[in-house]
Amino acid sequence: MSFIRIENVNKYYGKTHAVIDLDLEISKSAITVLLGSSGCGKTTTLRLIAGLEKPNSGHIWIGDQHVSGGNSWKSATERQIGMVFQDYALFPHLTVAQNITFGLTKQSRSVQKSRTADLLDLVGLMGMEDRYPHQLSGGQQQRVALARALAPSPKVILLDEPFSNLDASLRQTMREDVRRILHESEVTTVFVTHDQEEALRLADELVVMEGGHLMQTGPPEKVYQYPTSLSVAQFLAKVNVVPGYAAHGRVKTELGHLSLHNPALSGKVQVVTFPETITFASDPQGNATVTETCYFGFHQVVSLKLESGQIVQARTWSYTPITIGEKVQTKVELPVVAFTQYD
Amino acid sequence: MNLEHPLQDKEQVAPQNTSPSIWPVIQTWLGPILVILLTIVLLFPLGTLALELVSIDLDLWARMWDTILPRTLQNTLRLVVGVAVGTLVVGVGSAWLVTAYEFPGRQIFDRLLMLPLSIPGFIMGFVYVTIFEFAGPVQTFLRDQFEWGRGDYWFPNISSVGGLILVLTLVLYPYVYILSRSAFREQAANTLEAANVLGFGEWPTFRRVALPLARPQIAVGVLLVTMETLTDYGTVSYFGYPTLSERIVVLWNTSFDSAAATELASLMVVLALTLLFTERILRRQARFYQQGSFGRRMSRKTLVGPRRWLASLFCGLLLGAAFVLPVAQLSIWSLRRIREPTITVLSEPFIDYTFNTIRLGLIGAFFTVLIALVVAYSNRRDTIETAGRPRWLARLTTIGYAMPGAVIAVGVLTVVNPIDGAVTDFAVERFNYQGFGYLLTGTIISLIYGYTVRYMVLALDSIAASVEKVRPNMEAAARTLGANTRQIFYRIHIPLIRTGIGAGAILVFVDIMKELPITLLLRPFGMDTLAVRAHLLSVEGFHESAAIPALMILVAGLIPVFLLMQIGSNEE
Repeated sequence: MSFIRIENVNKYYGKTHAVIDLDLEISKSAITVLLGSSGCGKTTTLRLIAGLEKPNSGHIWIGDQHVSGGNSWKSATERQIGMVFQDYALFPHLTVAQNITFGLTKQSRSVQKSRTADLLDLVGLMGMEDRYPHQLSGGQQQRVALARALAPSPKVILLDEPFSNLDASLRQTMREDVRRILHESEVTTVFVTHDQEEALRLADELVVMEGGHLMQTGPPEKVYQYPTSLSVAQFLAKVNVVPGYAAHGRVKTELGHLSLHNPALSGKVQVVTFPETITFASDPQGNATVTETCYFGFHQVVSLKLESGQIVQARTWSYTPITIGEKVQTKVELPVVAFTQYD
Repeated sequence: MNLEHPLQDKEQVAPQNTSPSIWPVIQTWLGPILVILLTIVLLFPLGTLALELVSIDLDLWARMWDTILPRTLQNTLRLVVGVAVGTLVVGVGSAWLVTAYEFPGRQIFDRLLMLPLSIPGFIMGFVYVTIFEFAGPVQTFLRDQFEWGRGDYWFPNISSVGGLILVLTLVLYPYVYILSRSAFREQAANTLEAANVLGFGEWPTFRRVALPLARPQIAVGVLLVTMETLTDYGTVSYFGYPTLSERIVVLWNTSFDSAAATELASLMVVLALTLLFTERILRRQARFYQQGSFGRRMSRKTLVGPRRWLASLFCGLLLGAAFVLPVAQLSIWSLRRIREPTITVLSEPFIDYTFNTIRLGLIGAFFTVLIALVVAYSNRRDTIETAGRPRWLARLTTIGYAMPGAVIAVGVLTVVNPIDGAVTDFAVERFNYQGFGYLLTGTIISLIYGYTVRYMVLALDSIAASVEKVRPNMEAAARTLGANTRQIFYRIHIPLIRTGIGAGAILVFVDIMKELPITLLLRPFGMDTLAVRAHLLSVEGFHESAAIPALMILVAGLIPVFLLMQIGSNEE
């Protein structure tokens, strides 16, 4: 069930076409992640939903409200949306409690107080209500920003790269906490990030954007395993791309005669294989030579040189003994995704 | 930035919000246009003077070259070099002592050595001359003690270049002290320890590591001192030592040679701009120099034996000479003056000129802050459209600070005189009305204009810094939380920029209070301020009467120094 509906929206900044003909539906009470590299239009999309930017054309509905398009326009002030910013944007002159109650002016003192207590409990900051933002760590500021956005019980919450200023280990814990908090509050969430791992971990629904265009949407595992374009595949994972020739549901490549995920394809194609789907075994008559291994502890990435000179990477269990210079025979475990190659 | 939408080849884009409205264009350009207008208004007086150099009057320059110019230039150079060297030695020396060593009283000296910043040069000047001149208490005491007569003993002449350099050094060394102290503080312990490990002793470490690292900041300090020395009018005029800045006032006010004054003023504009430009470049360098400084601060070396007392003695003498002595002497004179039974405080128009000073200070601070607010907000880079706005535009409004007050006053007069003339002529021609006085010249308007041009930087620096604290995302956050524009203004902007406005207003107020040449040249007839009063009374030798206004100025001047100390302690 979709809660936010974006229809044919365009947004320009001067001559830059930031969002191009965007159609998007965002599910209720789920986390939708907008993923893309910087300048892809994901943050602009978020600001358009928030009402902080006005689209040059197109329509936006939130719930049953037509908030933008035609003659309708509701500003950010009227949309009842919670937003968490990359730089947190906490009010430095207000305490934690005052920050959280900023959007609750219409409620009574006692309501404000109990709501603040609930939220501090939710984000794990009990006892910090009288601190000022500069007295908090980055992770704590992040939690306050989230509590502040959740305080007025918005129907939608928008998060703009909220973890990009945190260090790696804190990011990990914040990610889990925020996912839990958002699911507990059953709020419709749109989350913007450029970090693939973060997107895959958090998303109920993944939206990949590139150059102002929407590239692909779907559950994260579907988007990851079955990308609909080479650029999405390459953006989401370090995939191997090898040339091949497709016919009758199979494709001929240097890695063997592989079965196709999209059997209708034929002709010259580019074949996407994930490092984790390539296995290999020692074989003096094999099709590849081990040139390098990268040890990561829980796995290792092995570079294999094919006869044509192309190098592909395979990810294996880290206990497999490997000798550099060894001849091996590769095998690809699952059907592969391929795209027609245009010359 | 071009706001026109490149729709030519995008027919599918419905033009609902893209109707060709001029409004977004105005919105984007309103800020810069306002800033440019204000910049023009503020730079007009100086611009007019700079243009004088284009239509240079060679005969006049030749005449000046034969008369006053060589001596004036020579004097100016001598003074500038003397004060620069003096402040360099005293400022860097004391800064190194309080950062690198531990000795009795260090913590107190560390702060208090900034205090002389509150004393205007002309006040320090008249206190020193009055104490150390032939008829002063020191020489009188010596004569009485040893029963000497005139010529029986040698005593340095305080009313000399040497005395003047001493006085200005005592007043201005805090610039070098503050900047080099912060430079020394930022130096990482590692760097200095590396030098120690390489076998450098204390002195070589200072000379070959610490000093070169701090050089850019020290240079900025000395440059500020040089600007202040060049712009000083009160002190040199009290000492009767003609410099460029002093000559301009005298030529205009006493000799009524406005042409010559204008030419000299235009020369000063070029000189000041050069210094200002150099300062900008040096500051930029200073930033890069200190980039790699992180980690532990250097640990202070505890001095033992007589050396610790020598360090205390040096700082004590410096503080005594530059602050305690003048404050004590002024207090004694003021008390004596107040106790005099025949003349009461009220017998002088004391209340009048205090009131005048406060009124000018308040009006001046109000307008300066107001314009600074407009400039700071107009030049704010808060949206994608405004992100590319240049910073130098706002900076242009502040170059008045590098100009001697006399130059600004002359500039203001060259602007307002023709306007007044035109208005009067118009009144006579059109309405045959003769009773039309000058609208601007000799009124409080031109005086405030001059103050605003000169002190813009003080207001703008503190206000722009506080406006920058309101990050665009804070406004966005407030809006998503349901706050409208008015609420955002009251709940976010006002609380965040309040202190900046306050600090800016105080700085401008206090500097107007101390200001001398602009007030002397532009004030309405008979309007005295504390500074004018202190100056005129001291020139005429009424040091006890001059002490009261001088002391008031000094006390007011302490406020910004305390603000500065506050900032310093927050950084620790």
